[in-house]
Amino acid sequence: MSTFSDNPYNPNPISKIGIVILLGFTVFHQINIYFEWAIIFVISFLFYKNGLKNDALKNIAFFAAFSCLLPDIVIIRNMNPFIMMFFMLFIVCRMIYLPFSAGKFFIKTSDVGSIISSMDKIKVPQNISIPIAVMFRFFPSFREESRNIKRAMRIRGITFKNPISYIEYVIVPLLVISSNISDDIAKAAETKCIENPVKKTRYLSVKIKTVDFAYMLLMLVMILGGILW
Amino acid sequence: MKTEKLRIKDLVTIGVFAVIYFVLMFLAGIIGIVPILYLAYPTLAGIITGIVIMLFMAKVQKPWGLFILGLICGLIVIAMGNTYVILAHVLISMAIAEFLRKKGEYKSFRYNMLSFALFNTWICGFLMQIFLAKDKVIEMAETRGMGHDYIMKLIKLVNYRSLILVYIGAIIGGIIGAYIGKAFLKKHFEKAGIV
Amino acid sequence: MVKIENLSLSYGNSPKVLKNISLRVEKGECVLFTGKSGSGKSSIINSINGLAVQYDGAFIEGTIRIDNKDVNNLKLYEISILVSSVFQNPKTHFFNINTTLELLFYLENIGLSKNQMDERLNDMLEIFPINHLLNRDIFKLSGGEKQILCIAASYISGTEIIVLDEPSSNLDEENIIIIKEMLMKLKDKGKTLIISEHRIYYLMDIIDRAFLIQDGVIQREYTKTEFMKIPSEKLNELGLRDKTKTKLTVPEIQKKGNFEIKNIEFKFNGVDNNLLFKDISFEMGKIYGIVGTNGLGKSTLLRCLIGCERKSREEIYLEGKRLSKRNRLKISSLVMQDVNHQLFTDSVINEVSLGVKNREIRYVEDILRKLDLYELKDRHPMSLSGGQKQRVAIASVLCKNSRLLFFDEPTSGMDYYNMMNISDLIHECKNDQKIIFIVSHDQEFLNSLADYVINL
Repeated sequence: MSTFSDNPYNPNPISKIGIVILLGFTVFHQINIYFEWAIIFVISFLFYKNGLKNDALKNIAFFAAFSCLLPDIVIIRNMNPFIMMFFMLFIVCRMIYLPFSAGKFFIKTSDVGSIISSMDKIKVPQNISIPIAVMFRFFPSFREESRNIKRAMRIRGITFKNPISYIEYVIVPLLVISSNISDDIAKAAETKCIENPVKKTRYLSVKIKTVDFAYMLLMLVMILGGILW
Repeated sequence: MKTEKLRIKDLVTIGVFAVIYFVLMFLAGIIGIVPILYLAYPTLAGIITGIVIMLFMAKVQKPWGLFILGLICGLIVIAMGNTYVILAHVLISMAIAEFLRKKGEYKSFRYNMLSFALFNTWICGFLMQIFLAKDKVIEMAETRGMGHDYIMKLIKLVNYRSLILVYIGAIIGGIIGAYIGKAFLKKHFEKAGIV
Repeated sequence: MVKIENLSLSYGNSPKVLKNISLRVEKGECVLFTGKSGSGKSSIINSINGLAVQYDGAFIEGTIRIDNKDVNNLKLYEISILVSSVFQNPKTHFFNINTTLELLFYLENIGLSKNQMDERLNDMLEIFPINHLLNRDIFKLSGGEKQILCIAASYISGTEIIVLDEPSSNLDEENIIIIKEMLMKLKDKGKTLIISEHRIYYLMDIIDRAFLIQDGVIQREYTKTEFMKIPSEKLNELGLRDKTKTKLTVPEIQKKGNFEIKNIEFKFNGVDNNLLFKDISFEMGKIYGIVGTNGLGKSTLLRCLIGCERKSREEIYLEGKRLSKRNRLKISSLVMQDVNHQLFTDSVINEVSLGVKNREIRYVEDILRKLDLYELKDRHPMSLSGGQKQRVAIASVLCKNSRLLFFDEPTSGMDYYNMMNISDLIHECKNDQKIIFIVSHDQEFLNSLADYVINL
């Protein structure tokens, strides 16, 4: 997420997010199972080529579990409604699995710098791109701070026995500290000319590589093919 | 009346609060694992996140602040693999919420409360996409040989009537959350000097 | 270069923080503003870089001119083209999460091309060889490395003037020396440096002039030679830290005691070296300082001792009885470096009585009186000043009456006066039923307080 590298098998963030949105169509339009498998394999291949071997395998395993598990539900037909509802959840997971998988690929393989460059490239207004950049910056701080607060609470002997006051004790310091950090981030940005009206440049450029074309094209073919088949 | 442009400070505040809001919203989402309770998800999320958004509204009393925060939430769930339905839903919810805030000139509690209640309805978008994809569920289940009556039982949960209930729940949750938020502002944040 | 005339500054209706400040800083000069905390030295820095007025809502009279431009008429970004700022707390003052992009962030914002950025980056690497810090996750850097990055970024931006607000306050000795060398190189490059600081020993070879600020006015202007002549006692009286590097005079731990650590083991994620701690014992009624450079796991050791670290394994005995993590949690208290993490309630009195059972209200009030907090007992803890917050945290620790007290960097960023106050306070906590552990890189502080040190 934080460091950038140049991998010929890593599409730029714009293509990756484009694919996520495109795969959103598969939720509403039934596509052929073989094409679905093809999409999963393309994503796993890219995971693998980006050094994420575990994710490549998990991706295939989860999809296999979802798509092979469901037919067996026939047996459960006569079971009580509560378990049926539980399987409803599985069906929902299965439905959104394709865009979810592409979304995971986007998040795991994109560095923040490139995402910011991409937002500039597609002319996302500053009022939206700056808060998004801040989110990436703030999230790790948030994790750190909430861990510290929880630790302080354990040492003070505050437990979850009274959930309402527990939540109060977490959220007050958390929001106060977050507000302070927010001021610090803003000061750091302002003293580095972020409000300068000249056209900004980016150190990391958004490159359109062969893999971008290949990824886009393969996915388009698969989705259209799957729907028309 | 404050009708200033959003400054860098405000944009940073939006980003910071979006993170906090999102984390709390997801924590509330754990409830969705229990079947049937996911219908109560928007209500619960409203109750829990009220503090954060009310504090946010107290900090950024300017046009478009809340709208951008909501829009970003929509963009994130899209990037994590949801459908465009949710984005459309976000735009509608946020537009109404922003309009209500404007009516209250960005500081009236009554309007901010209503605004948050409407803001909170965007979470219903998650269910809305399942509702709209109902046909596919039926189709999918049929091809897998599951009987029609079984499917109907499942689908029954997501029909017009329950959907309306979910929306009402979202608004009520939002109002409760706003009142909790108000209490916290008074008890803590105003005294602590961070608004 | 920088010309300040009759500058007065105030926040809201409170009394003026700065009164009638007039001075000139020439190109290439290094000027120090010094004085105790709250004297207004940081406010001068913040009025030069514009943050005081445009950010914190201060009200200003008089003029500040930078290169003949009136700062009052400039927007923040226009000031930032003339002046770079380095802040006190590098932990939060950055915008990117990648180190290289943070270095180049300013250049992106003024619209330089990639080639120009690479040029400046290489130019910077020639004087500051920090290749090992490039293209990394900022969150994985130590506090010292972050401050190095901030100073490097101020050079890359190419401004002629750099203002630094207590740049050493969160650093250990080793990093302070690195910072010193960096500042010297900046001065050699002809940069104008304006520094506010009360820990001054590392600046003695760099500064040309020093201003002593007291209660918002310039008490006196010193030339370098005059400043060097001020005796140490006088400096301490003025609230300043020593002007020579302090040596740690506390003996290494040796005696046996009845709080015994047989073994502590902790595996860091992804790193080969583990934290190992074996066969050490501590005596009741003593104060132990824990020292060692950043990144050696001092804070981790604290967590292991307290018993709030899940991933560690330890074997610890108190008076012959083995203590589990849970046992230790019960008898431990911690004052954190950032006390904001441990203030939970809506008033000081509720805060100190939180989680305390069977204590009379009189006992609690006595403690508040002892710490000068009694008048503040109905205030919201978060609305207090930094020093007061820390006292509230200490008060709550005292109310809990734990046998093991832990302090994590209690004096970071403190001037001499506040440091001695904390030292006295902790000294009063000391009794035969307690052991006090202090993680600190502040050697003056440890000298004044600790009985033994443990060097990691």
